[in-house]
Order: sequence, then C-alpha cells, then structure tokens
Amino acid sequence: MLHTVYLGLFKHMMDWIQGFLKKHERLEAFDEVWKALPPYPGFLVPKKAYRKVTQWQGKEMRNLGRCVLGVLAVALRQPGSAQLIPFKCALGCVRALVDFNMMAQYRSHTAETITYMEDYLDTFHKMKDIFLEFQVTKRIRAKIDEQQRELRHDRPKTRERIAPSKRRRMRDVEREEETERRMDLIFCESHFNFIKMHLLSHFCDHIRQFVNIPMYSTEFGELAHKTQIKAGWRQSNKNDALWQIV
Amino acid sequence: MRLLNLESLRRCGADLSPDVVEQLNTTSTTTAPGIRRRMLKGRQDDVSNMADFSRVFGVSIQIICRGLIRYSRHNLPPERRLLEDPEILESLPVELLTQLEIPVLAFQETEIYDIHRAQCTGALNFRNHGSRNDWVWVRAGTEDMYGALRGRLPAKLVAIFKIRDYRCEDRVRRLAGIQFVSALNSGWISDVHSLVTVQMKEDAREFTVVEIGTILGLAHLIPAGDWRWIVNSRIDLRTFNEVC
Repeated sequence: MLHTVYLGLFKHMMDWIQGFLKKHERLEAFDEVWKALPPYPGFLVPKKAYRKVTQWQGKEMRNLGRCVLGVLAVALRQPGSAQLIPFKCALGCVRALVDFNMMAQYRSHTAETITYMEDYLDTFHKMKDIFLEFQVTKRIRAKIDEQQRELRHDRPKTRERIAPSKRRRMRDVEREEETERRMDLIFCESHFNFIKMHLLSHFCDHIRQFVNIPMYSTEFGELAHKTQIKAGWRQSNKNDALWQIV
Repeated sequence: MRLLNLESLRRCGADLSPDVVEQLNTTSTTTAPGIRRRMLKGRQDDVSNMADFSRVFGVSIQIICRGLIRYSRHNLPPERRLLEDPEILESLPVELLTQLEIPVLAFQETEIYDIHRAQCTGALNFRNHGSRNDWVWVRAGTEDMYGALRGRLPAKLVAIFKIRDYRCEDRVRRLAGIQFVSALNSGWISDVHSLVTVQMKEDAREFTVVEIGTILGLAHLIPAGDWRWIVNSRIDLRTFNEVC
C-alpha cells in the first residue's frame, strides 16, 4: 500500500491533476479549497497550499487520498461547456482510484467487495487517458527539446527585411506549429506502462490468496525499521552492530 | 452500503437461517458490556440560566424557547414534556459545554471505538482564533430517507447544553442546538463526482434542539461556496462504506 499506492500512484495522480488544473486554470481554486479543509479525527489539516509542499511522506499521501476527490470536485465546479466532458472524465478517474484505494484498506472482504474493486480498477483504466498528456517522462521531455531544437534549426534565420507585423504573425504560426508537434509527440510517446500501475491488477488476487492487503503493507517494515533497527544501531558500539541489534 | 453485515442483511430482508436470526436477536437485546456513553466536556462557568445562555450565544431567548418547545413536542412523552410557558423555561438552570465526545465503533470492529471530539464554542473564540462549530451527523429519519445518506443529515453544532427540569423529577436533559442542512438531489450522489452536496437554506439557519443521543459522529464537509458543502464520504472507511 505505502509504496505502490500512496507514494506511487497517488504521487503520479497528483502530478496529473496539477497539470490538468493548470491547463484549465483551476489551480488557484484547488489551493483555496485545499487550505480551507475542516478538521476531522485522524486527519491532518493541510496548512500550506498543495503546490508549496515539496516533500510528501506516506502518511501525508494517505491523508491526501481521503480528501482529494472532494477538493477536486469543488475546484472543478461550474465548468464551461467545453470543459464538461474532460472534467467529468478527470473526476471519474480520480474517483475510481480513490475508491479502489479505500476498498483495498478493508480488513475483510466478500466476493462482492472484490467485484467492486475490480470494477473501480476497470473504470480507472478506461478513464485514465484524460491524464495521458500530463504523463511526461524525462525521456519524452528530452525528445521534445530535441524536436524543438530541430524545428528552430530548420527555420530561415534572416528576417530583417520582413515587416514587423508579418514577422509577429510568422512567429505566432511557428509557435502554434511547435505546440501541435509537441502534443503529437506527447500523445505518441506517453504511456501508463509502468510497474506501479501494473501492480494494482494483482490486488484482487492477493486478497483472494492472503485475505487482506493492509496486513502486508510495507508501512509495517518502515515502522519496524525505525524502532527496531535504528534504536538498536544507536545503542550498539557500531562495531559488528548486526549481532548487537539482533 | 458496500460491505454488508448480518444486521444490515436482515434489514434488507435477506434469507438468513433461523439460528443466525436468533443469535442476532439475543445480541441486540442484551446490553454490550463495553458500550460507551457520549461525554460532555468544557463547562462554561459563566452560564447558569437561559439569559446567560442567550447572551453568550447571541441568540434571542425567544428563539431558544421556541426550539425547546418544538423539541419537547416532537420527542418527549406527554407526561415528561417541558412546560410551554416561556417564563418557566427561562427560569430552568442551564449548563453550557463546549465539547462532545462521541464514541464511534471502528470500521469492521466490535469492541474498538474511535472517539470523535466535536467542538462547539458558539460565538466564543476557540484557542484565541475564531469560533469553532464542527459538523456532525444527526439521525433525522429512517434508513430509507435522504438517499445515500440513509436517514442521517449533516448539521452544524451550535450549542451543547444541559437543562435541568426541576418540575419533572429533577430530570437533566443533555441537548444540542444544531443547524440542519438539506441534501440536494434528495441525498443521492452526483453522477459527476459521486459525492452528496448539501445546502443550508435560509429558514434552516435557525436553532433546532436535539438530544445528544441522536448525534452519530463528526462529519467532514468541504465548503463549496454559496451556502453549499460537499459531503466528503472518503474521509474514513465507515463513511465510505455507508454513503454510496
């Protein structure tokens, strides 16, 4: 749960959401709602805007999973006519992933709850394409840079004799062409084929085989590392410490 | 409800074997030893009667009396009702409190309780900042009412108080003043974000008195402007399981 969902997919999802909100100019609204969240038992109320936080811990990401759908729903309210479908798809995708995560936290399951989980995962996979343009890896970014360099290299360099208005028009056309080609490249090259995305497909089988997921979460290993290993290391004389820790 | 337990299956009319039904009846009639009571904390020493109560909360005595009379008519048996004379109501001793501890059974547990601490300072400051009046779930009807909310409604807690009715066996009533919201779309979830939206209408901004036993736990509402809120049903597993 910790490394696959919280620090894995939730982190990716938040990058996609940020890109999506930026595209639709809703970042401010998202941050406003984010900062105004009311308290709840066991819920850490965020004090800063989402964009101002640079490092996220697992428990903070878990916290985020509890409120992100509501915050996004408020940030994306009153859409324009052209925004209706993308907003619905984005909310549907986030909802499916959040619901899948909520259900994965159940400590006992029935055949029905596993079916729910499978449905949520299917919905997520069907709707995630709305975020495809924001899933830009370093490799794709390097390709985009290279493509832009090539484009600029191919353009004629002497424009002194051209009138300024015409030059401006030409620059606009070039910029449009650049954007178009960049988006083409992103849509061609981007994909969701990474390991953490694939791991979700094994959750239901895992439940059938080992009863529940939280029991096998990597969180416990991390907590144990903090108390058992680190405390032991501090108490040892650092010389052949393994035996002293054990 | 996503994950059903035996009690909810029985309510749905599922075909359960007689021994299971018998077992359910036995467990539901006997009082569980670990059952927890709601606790009131944070007594305000400067409030001893209705006039003080009205002064501290900035609500007129008439409104409070109206709320008490409505509560008495709808919830109490005739022999235990409060007298509807405003002068007598004003003379009743009142204790004002600022915190309500609600034990809520943890999800998929039978003995572990989560304690929800609902803060309610009315018009007073909370820790040198503005006032704090938490949102709570209040039982407002039967399970088939209010769509996905299943008979519960979120409400803003505006006062927690005890009133001593010395005319009726010196009985102490533990009450809360709340402001109900109304659920849009009859309480069913939205197609777009699958969350329930609630709205506070102008006529509902008045003081409604309920017994604290009807308060089920804290609710998490995200402000959406224009006196509207979105009920965050993903805040914990219990709410997620029940509101759908």
